[in-house]
Amino acid sequence: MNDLNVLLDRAAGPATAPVDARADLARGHRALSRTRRRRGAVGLVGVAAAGAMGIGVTRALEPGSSLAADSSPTLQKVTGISFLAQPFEAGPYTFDQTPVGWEVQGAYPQGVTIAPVGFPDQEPASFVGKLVIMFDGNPPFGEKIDHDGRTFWVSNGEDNVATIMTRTRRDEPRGMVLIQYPTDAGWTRETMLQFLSGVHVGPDAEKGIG
Amino acid sequence: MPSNRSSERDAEFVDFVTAQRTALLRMARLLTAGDDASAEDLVQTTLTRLYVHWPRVRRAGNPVGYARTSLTHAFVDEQRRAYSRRETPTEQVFDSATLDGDHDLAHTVLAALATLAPRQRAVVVLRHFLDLDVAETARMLGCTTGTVKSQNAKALANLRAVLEPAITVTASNREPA
Repeated sequence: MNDLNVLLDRAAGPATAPVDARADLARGHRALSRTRRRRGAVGLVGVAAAGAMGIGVTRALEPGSSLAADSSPTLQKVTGISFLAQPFEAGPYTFDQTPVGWEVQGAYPQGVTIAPVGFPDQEPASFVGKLVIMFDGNPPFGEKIDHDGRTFWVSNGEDNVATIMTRTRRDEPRGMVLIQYPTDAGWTRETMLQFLSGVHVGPDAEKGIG
Repeated sequence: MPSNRSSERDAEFVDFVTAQRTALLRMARLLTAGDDASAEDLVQTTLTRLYVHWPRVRRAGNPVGYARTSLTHAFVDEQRRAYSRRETPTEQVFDSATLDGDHDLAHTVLAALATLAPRQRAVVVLRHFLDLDVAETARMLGCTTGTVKSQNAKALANLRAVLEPAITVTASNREPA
């Protein structure tokens, strides 16, 4: 009589073997780079249109500019980041308010890249130090927070980066809308909750990969 | 220059690969019924996905479970595409006189596994090689526990039909099939 577990154990091959993880690590590095490029690459198509909008937003939001002083929208400040109650669009995404001193670098179906005005890295596919708004199909993760009648999940990640996410509204494409943001650029959990609460996902949004 | 976080991610991943790659390759070898090239492909695919999602894997706190699930899904997805084109020797019967040592035994068992449909093979590997219970097997395969039980029963019947009388198969799981 042969126990199936024993038969399978023999058929599976040796239980010990030398392992060199370098090739797997190299494949992982390449795949991660591809994933990050893919998330941003589509944005290059929309950069021209979004860039023009970004300039407008920047001018409107620079605190010292005459446009900001003359603008009717009220300036609202929450720790570290000020918001102007002026909606703007970036690709299929609409934002109820705009952060002062930040501008859109790239807008595409999978998401939006927003960076501080004059940020040295102008590459929309590069996300370090920037806000990355994404539409995502993965399940939520992180600390659960109820805010303004909706549920959010906040998670601290790597390299001074955090992620906040919430489910899309009933009239929006089904999925998660999330923002990856730097934790060392003035953004707090409260400002992010406020900002993400005002993000709307349009029908042309596409879920990203990863 | 890689950041400390990236270095930490790499170090954790390398530790995981060093500790678990052989076990994953053994699991893949059974899933692919001894097709070593396909098994290696599955493991590479699984580990690459694992690295890309490492922060999530770390948060989940069960990298082995994550890897096994990912490997199973990669196998089922791949086999679903290929299975309809493949001919399997369902009537093959083995002669005990031809079995000579562990090598032949392994070859015979792998050949018997090859006669199973991919999902049946996955159930056998999860239930009888990894010794997972019905509920965990169902969770990994994304099906009901009833489906696992029926697939397991069919798979065992098929294996016995192919292997016996050369090899008598018994299953000693914690739960009934």
